[in-house]
Amino acid sequence: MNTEIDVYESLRTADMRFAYQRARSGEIPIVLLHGWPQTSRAWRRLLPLLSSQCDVVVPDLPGFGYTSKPESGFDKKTIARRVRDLVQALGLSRVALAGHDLGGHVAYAYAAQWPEEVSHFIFIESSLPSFGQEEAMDVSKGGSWHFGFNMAGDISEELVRGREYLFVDHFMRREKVGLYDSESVSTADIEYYARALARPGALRSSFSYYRTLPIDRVDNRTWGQTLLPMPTLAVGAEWGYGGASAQTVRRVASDVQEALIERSGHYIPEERPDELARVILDFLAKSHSTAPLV
Amino acid sequence: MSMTLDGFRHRMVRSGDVNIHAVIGGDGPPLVLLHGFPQTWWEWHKIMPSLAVRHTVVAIDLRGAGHSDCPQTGYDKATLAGDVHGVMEALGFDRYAVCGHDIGAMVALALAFMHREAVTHLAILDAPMPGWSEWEALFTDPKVWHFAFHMKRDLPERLLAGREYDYVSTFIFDRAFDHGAHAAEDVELYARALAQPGNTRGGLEWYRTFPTDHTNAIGWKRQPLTIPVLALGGDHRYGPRIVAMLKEFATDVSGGSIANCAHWLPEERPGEIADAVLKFLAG
Repeated sequence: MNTEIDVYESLRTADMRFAYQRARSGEIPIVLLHGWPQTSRAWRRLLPLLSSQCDVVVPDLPGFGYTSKPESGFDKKTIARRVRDLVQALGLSRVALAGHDLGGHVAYAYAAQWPEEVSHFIFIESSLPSFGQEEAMDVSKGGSWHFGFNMAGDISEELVRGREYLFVDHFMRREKVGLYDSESVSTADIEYYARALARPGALRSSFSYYRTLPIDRVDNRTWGQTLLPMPTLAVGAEWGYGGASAQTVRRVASDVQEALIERSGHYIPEERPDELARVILDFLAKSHSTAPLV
Repeated sequence: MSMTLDGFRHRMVRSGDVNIHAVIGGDGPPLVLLHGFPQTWWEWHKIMPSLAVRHTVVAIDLRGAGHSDCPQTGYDKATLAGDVHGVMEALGFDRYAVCGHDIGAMVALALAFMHREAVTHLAILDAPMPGWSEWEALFTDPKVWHFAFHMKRDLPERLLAGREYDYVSTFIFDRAFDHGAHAAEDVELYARALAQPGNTRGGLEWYRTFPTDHTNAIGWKRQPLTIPVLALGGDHRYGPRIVAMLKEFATDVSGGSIANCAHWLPEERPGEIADAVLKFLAG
């Protein structure tokens, strides 16, 4: 697809080599953080749609894609610090932050630690430990099995190794919150994510995002005592978490708007890029004048 | 898998519409032994000779495990209990004692409720019971992450295929206090059993029926058992909670923790378990 931008740039920060894509025709700096078990490729359809009005930065999160796979530091406090290192190294001081799925956890940790450096917070199909995520992992209340599995230890890596395609395909097409249109993500896309997950250290890193949830729970509880001040947008998918993302974010932010994308599963950036770009651009335009100046 | 014990004979017993593998030996009042996941009748091999001195011991492979059939359905504990009762009837035993471990303990409890006239004594070894007031809270305990994994349909079979040894060894040693309790050959044997066609699915189905089991057990406990119940758990697993748990289901409960032991009581502390069960059955 010729609208997709496939060039990855590299940049070294204190403890990471980051791979990222950047498209800057517009002014508003925005950083997009992908979810699990994906890479920055998840934003490929959004990048061209946002770039006319924004300076878009799309990194592979630490442990994913072509970015370093560190031995430790997968709690979202540390991951957010590492992403901020990248943002600063790119010469940006204040950015809009959007996170999908676990990328939303990282975006929250960033916004909560450095609220004055985040102009807008966009929370897409995500949850937060201490603020509703516990229900998503409680199977006795309809939650998903994969939290416990991913957190279990070396056995998780052992069982998925060599079966990354099966694993990614399962999640993206799962019955409950998977793709609304099964063909909106191609076999080649899933193969791309599966190959990224098959690289040495990738499964360990990816599961480590889950194994650190107990640490995140404590950090979030502390940060949650102060509501985020910046304009916040919660985006849910009709066939995904629905209104749950908004319910979560209302508990940690003071100025929340909501959008629900119809006919989409959990993976909105790939399934409904046009609708998502529209709600993001509207939100940035509307909230621009009210954003506090630095 | 040619595992045999001196003095015990192997039989396939028809029970309802399934064939159940039974290992039988000894003399005296009958006692049926019910294993758990990811095991087979072999988990009792260390204590069967001691128990057989005073009892006719029947160790079976549950529906879905070992050499027993693995049909598509019928893995709720009430149906599994029906299988066991059918085996005991076929062997000519109207009244018998039952001892179960792990999933087998859930089956033993169901059996005691469904065949009150037949079950004389109930021994429960280290397992949480569906119907327990803490049952639903358990699902957020990282110690039992495998509940949710096993309950997921279809995917675990694919992830476990060909990796049965990795899974079984990790499963056993993660839940053991005494890491000398299992010989490498024992672990290998359980892994090979799980790898037999249908057995991985069979073992996982025991978990997929939990919601049904929970509903059934809540109904059963309205009329508590009055037979003697022995509840034992490892002090590093369910031991500290197991007597209180069983008191929700029965009026006459004894037992408690086995020291220096986690989940695998008959293999980690065979001498103590055999003594405790014999003493309980003699009482």
